[in-house]
Amino acid sequence: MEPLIIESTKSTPMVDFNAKNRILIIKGQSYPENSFKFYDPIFQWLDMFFTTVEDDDGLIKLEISLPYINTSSTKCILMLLEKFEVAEKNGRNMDVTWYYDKENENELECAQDFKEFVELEFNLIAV
Amino acid sequence: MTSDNRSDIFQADYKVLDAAEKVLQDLEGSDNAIRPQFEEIYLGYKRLLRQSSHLIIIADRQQKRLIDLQNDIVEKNRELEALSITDGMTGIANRRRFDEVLTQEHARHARSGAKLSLILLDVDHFKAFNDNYGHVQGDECLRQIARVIADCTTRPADLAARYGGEEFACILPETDNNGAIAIAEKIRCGIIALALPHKCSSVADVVTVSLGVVTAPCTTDASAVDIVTQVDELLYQAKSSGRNRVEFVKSCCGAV
Repeated sequence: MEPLIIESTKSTPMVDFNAKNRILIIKGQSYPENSFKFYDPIFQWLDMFFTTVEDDDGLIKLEISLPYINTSSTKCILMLLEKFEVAEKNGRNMDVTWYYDKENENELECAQDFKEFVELEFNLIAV
Repeated sequence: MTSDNRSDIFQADYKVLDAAEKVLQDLEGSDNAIRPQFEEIYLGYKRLLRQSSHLIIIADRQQKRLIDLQNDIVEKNRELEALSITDGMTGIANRRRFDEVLTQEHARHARSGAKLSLILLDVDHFKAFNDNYGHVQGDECLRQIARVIADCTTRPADLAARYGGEEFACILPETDNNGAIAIAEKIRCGIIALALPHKCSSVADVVTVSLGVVTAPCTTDASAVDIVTQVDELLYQAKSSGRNRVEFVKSCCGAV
């Protein structure tokens, strides 16, 4: 499966989803004018990934860093994390890490908000 | 769906869920073919409603953080603005503020025709004071002088500023020459009253100042800079004619 690589812009994060090593990275500010247009290819890639990936207990790593995120992107990230919730319930081995800037209290609080509402274990790491 | 709080913004949404639940209960045990499909729609709606309520909580919190941050920045900007127009050492207005206010007041007085006065003063033999007592004492001397000048210029529009090293200036809006001279004298005497010893001064045993006072004519084509030049000359006169004195224009056409 082809990796999904999207360069970051001022208002959209960098995306590097690699099916081979099972490391999925999303990193950067997210406030596109049309969030769904940006996130839809990511959802499609993930749906394909979860249906085709070999179920051999290999760890799937998701690494997130979102210093600023607007409301529609928040919806998209909730949708994205829900896909991981479902995958985990289906027995996939997940490791989700949310990186935040230790200087930025808002970023940590935002990550904690997601943690509160998503039924998925994730690590919060200051960088 | 059982909601913890039926008065929240999703009240209407929960009502839809309740109605759907009732239909599901009514269909319980029946062989109605639509039931599984209906249940799937019901569960889908429930899941999306849960997601939406989470979204709104997260977005509201995010928004609150941004508003708090914005308020902090506004507050910090105010502080920075105050710092940028204050002389760090003496706590009174700095040169930047002086120039700004003088330009504004000059324009305002040119329009209204009111009298604008300016005092420029310089500490007598301050270099000798510094050399003799050290810079810590020198700074303390300037701080005390600044306090006296500020205390003598208390009307809301008055401005006392540190003009440069040991030079200070006062902008006195709507003040005639006599009024300004009175304030200058008050400053001069107030500084003598501080009784700061100055044994290297040729003028007195204590710290003294020389002052120039100018009152801009009511109808002036002159710029704010011209008034400064004029008051600077008067200060120079006060220095060269013995220091510890107030110099002003002894107008042949009467006091302005």
